[in-house]
Amino acid sequence: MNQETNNKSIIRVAMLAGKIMLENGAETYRVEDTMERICYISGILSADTYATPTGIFLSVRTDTYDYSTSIKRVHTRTTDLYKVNMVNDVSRKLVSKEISLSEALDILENLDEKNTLPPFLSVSSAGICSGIFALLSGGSLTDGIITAFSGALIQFISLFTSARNISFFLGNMMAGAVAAVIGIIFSIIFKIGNLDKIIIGSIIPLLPGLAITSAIRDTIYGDLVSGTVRGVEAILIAVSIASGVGIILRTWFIITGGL
Amino acid sequence: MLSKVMFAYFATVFFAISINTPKKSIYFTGINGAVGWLIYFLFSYYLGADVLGSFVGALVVALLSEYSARKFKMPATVFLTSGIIPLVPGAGLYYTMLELVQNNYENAINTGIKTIFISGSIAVAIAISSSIFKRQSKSSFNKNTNS
Repeated sequence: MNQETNNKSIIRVAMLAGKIMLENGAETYRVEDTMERICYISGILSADTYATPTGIFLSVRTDTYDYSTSIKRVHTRTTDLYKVNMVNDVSRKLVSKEISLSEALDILENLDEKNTLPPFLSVSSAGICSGIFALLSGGSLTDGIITAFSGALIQFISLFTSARNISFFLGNMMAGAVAAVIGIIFSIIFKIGNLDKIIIGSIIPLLPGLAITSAIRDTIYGDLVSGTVRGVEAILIAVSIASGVGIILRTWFIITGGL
Repeated sequence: MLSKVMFAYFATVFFAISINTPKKSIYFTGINGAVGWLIYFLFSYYLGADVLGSFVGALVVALLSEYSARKFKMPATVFLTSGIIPLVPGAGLYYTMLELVQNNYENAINTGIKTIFISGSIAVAIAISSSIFKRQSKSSFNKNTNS
């Protein structure tokens, strides 16, 4: 492989690795760090990367006066830590020369296309997680079972809205509203289960745990722009869930005049 | 209490599955979550210190995550994201909203501020542990780049 094609494939691998990581919930500094490590494996004089939660820039100097730059806009953001870990693994092996560039490109392209988490598994495990949380916060077994169903339904709504490009604000609000509706139907109308426990358990998988974590870690690692953006995202997620729950509860209280 | 620790363990494990955490890290993620929750529970039950409990719990979870990240050679986020889930104040968020929609503004402000403080204490704990481990990883990287 001559130097020029080598440089081009390095850039391609680095951009693809960065894109997959950013789309699946890695922190900004890790995206930049991984891309730089990949760039420095051979023949590139210097590399600069800049990543924000919505896009990545990569500029490499291949010769004294020869720069090439590429930009990738990232539109979708989901959470899939398996993919983040796989890219991390690929870059580690690439740096230690365990795999070649073309092998890395194959693995990454394959990883980018396939859906590693079956929706059914995601929905059911989120449901079980919700159910156990209802038990953890002091609910009875009945609460747990109802919450498991409602948590699964909420995860389904959350996956469905993000697949249809509905904004996360509206998606979380709908999910919060569904949690409140299910809570009211079972605890007040059918008189089984506890309203508080059902709603608290159901909204747990929606809470912005990842957004908070990434926001803080980005800020600490000096990516102030990304940190701020993710912090705002975390606050907005919490507000949207709360308003979804609040709208339904308020409507119910106005109709019936209290609990 | 033992059964609650088990609940915290399995809740964390199933949350980890729902965000597709790599398989070999899942059991350790569960331990993270359970330990963090146990510390929080001990503080809030025996001392009535919710915020301090969240802080210490989250700090232990974050340090354990950084440790296991190095042991398993995986990003720390893999362990951290699920590990803090039992500590995230979902109940606080809900009760704040419940008081608000019933026009009990004073209670709403009380619960709301407590919720914000608990989230803040988790954030500070993550910030501390990330800062401790940051220096090490960055300096080892700069050595082999010489740009």
